[in-house]
Amino acid sequence: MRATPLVQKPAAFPRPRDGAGAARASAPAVARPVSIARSLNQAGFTGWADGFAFTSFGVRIGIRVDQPGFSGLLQSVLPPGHRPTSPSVLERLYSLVLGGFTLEDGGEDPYLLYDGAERLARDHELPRILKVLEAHIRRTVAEMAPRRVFVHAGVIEHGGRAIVIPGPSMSGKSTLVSELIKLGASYYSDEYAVLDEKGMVSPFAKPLSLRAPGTYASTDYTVEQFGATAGVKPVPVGLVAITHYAAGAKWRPRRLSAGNGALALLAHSIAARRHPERVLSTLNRALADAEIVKGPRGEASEVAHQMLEVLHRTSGITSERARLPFETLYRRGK
Amino acid sequence: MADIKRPKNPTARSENLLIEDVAGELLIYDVSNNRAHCLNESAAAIWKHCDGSQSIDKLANHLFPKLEASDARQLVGVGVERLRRRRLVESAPAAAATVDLSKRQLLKKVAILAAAAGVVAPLVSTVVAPTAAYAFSCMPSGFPCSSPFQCCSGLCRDLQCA
Repeated sequence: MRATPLVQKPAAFPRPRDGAGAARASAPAVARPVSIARSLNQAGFTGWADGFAFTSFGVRIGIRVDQPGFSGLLQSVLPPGHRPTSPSVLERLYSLVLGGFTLEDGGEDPYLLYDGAERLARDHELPRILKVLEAHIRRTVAEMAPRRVFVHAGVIEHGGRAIVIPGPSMSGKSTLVSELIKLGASYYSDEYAVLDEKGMVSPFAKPLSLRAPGTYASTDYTVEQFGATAGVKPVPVGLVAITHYAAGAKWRPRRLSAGNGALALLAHSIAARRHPERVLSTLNRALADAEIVKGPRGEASEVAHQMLEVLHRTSGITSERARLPFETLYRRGK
Repeated sequence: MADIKRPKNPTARSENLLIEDVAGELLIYDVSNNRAHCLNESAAAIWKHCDGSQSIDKLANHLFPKLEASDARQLVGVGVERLRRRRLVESAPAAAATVDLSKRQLLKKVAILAAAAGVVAPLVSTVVAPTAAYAFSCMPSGFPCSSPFQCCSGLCRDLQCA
């Protein structure tokens, strides 16, 4: 057992506690995306045992840690589509101060996570700290991506077009997405619809987080566990389904206009206040050929079939068809 | 109390607004209060013609020539009032006869008028643009947490979202 002093919150960036520095980083246990020898001398990594930088959707992020050999573990928290990058200019720098040691007073040294100089989390369980880091990195990417609009939504693709299911946390997006991919749809995301300047939706295929009924903890699943695959290329939006779970409800949605659909997506857009002009124009393009429907739903397993059916019936929708009553167009079996 | 001067004729606001035409409807983002509005075709037409030079009567004649003058005036009046309440139009408040009706009665009357004339009643939908924190995934009260940012409330106390 090794006793270490309790870590105090630093005035600026957190510093390593016990001399862990560049020398210890010279023999990393796991290969990293960026040369540590170079990165340690840039972007505030100096004096830290380990660190690397990556980019995701144009956002450059660095992570540094005060003990060597943790890069492999940290790779598991990186967002979809990440690539190594030079750490010379970073939009965000996370610092992980690893605890787990027994203190002189018998207590446990906690793990600390910082975003710049702000402490994000303090916990005695490393997996929980890593969960916080993973979620915060995704949030940073969603907020700061320079040429994308992130909408809080579940997304699947089928037949070359996407179903986008916007909604707040706990509205059942992941459950519905998991049912849709069981039916053969490609998985794009259970958290964000990533829209580019043309209005196409790109994959953001993080592991699916599903919560068992009545429990707090969510469990991550790979898309392969559902016998499905993740999408790889941007596709146009075919259907926007604004819905939430309501026990016993039947999914009988009503059609919304493109303007009201854009408004509904804007209400879940991460950068709506930061870049309203970009959000408006991107949503307009994204919904150009999309059907938008709204209504509560019952069990996801029952609704998933109907949603795919609606997606296919609206493929290549013409303005003539768009004027038909919704029931005429989508009644099952017709 | 200071008397607020409002233009006699309805005048559409132009500052601090971002406007996007979406298939005939107008999406308007008000930067000053972070509200986004969707104006349907009728509301959009009314808003576009509110240049301060036309009274409600003139607007009614211009926009809904096939309607009875009084019906058209009521339709435009309701549209202007809805826009005014959302600060998209500057004008004197609507006449008492218009605002005395309850919202439900007013909606019904306007909808009947519009449907009878084959026009769409002016509708304005509004949402408040979310802050980034609100739009992210978050956990409700009672869920375990390690950091305030995980909680919808922004508060993590004793490893539980407040």
